[in-house]
Amino acid sequence: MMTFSLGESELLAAINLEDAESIVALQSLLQWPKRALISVRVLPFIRPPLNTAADVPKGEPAFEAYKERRSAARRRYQRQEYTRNLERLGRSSGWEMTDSGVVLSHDILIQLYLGNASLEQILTYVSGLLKISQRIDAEGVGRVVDGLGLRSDFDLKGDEATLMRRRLADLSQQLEAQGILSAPSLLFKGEAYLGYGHLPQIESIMDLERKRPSE
Amino acid sequence: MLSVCIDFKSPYAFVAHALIWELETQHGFVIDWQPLTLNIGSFLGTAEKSNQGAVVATNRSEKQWTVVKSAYRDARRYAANQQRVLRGPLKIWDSSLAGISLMWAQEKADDRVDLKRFMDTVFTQFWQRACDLEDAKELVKHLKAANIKTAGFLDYLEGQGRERHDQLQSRLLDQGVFGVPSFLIRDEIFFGREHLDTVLWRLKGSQGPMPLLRFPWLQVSAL
Repeated sequence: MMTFSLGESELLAAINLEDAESIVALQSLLQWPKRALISVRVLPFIRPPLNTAADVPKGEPAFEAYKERRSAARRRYQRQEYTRNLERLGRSSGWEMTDSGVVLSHDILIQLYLGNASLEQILTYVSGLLKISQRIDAEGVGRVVDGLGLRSDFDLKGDEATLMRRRLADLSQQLEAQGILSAPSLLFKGEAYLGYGHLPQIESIMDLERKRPSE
Repeated sequence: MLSVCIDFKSPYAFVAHALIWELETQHGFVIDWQPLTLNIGSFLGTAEKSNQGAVVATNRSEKQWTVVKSAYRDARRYAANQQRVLRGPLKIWDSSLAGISLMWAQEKADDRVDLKRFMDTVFTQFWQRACDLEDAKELVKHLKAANIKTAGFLDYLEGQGRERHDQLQSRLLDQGVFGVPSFLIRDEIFFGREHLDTVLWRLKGSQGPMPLLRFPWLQVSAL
């Protein structure tokens, strides 16, 4: 089992490669001026999308009808935001991943993390994935990894796949314990920030620490 | 035309409203404020607390509590950044009267400054647990304090205002508005104050690349 821990001068981005906003988050971090002052780490967070409405006890027909209409409104909105994120990525269409593609591509993210890969290296890997086609499978991931000079002889039908799935599940559980509920999210000094847009707040914390007189 | 949907009982709307007003006061885009009265119980379950903060009734799952606590932790950070007090409500309020009052205030205010003052007072006091959103008399008091006329207001609350409010809820849901604050520019919706840059970019004609998301954080000089 991989035990995750984050240093005081590290910022973690928890992402899901199936999610366009997660990729925008990586781009945002790449453009972030404060990045030079901090170590940006990236790990996968794989969980089904949050759906707290599913836990609400059933009610009267009117209440249920409202729930359904609100869910439909949410889905409609998410399609709009998805399109905007594709535009931010300069893409006209999205992508999807096969099950084995999801497992392998995210396990590679863990390997990159363990190898202390830079954000540039991670984005090179992710860009490679997104260039594959609209459907990313394990074979395609393997080719990208091969092209980057990383190990690519993965056995996705045997014990290795089981191990990868377990590692991803364990990691997501550990991140959840830190307060991360969805991807993309940021983790900094033990605080979870849902969404990548909290960088200005994190900058402020960094500035305050730098100005604090040393003891 | 820019419409912005808010609900006085939303912590996210509370920490966003002053920033959103800047679209009008700093950039000249007049805002059509629309109340979206959230049925929080339908997506986060219900809970009621005693004055001491102990939960006395709830149907929330562990996951729902986690999400609620995370949302409040986040909103409190941003409220503190704006030097605002954010005390979690002890129950889930029916904020529809306050929403109808917002429609009234927008229609009757002689000056937009009065509308802004009304909104800021209701938000600020509610989040200090000093405003009863379900009390029409209290809403009258805040309208008067903001220099907004109140003759006919109580009839409006129960009649035309209620009708307009209920129709609006239905229309907003059909448009895809499900949370607050939401920004509507023609058929496009932006949910959350982290979209303010993108909203402004869109209002100014979408020149250059689309901005990334950013939760506005006010720079406070370190002492």
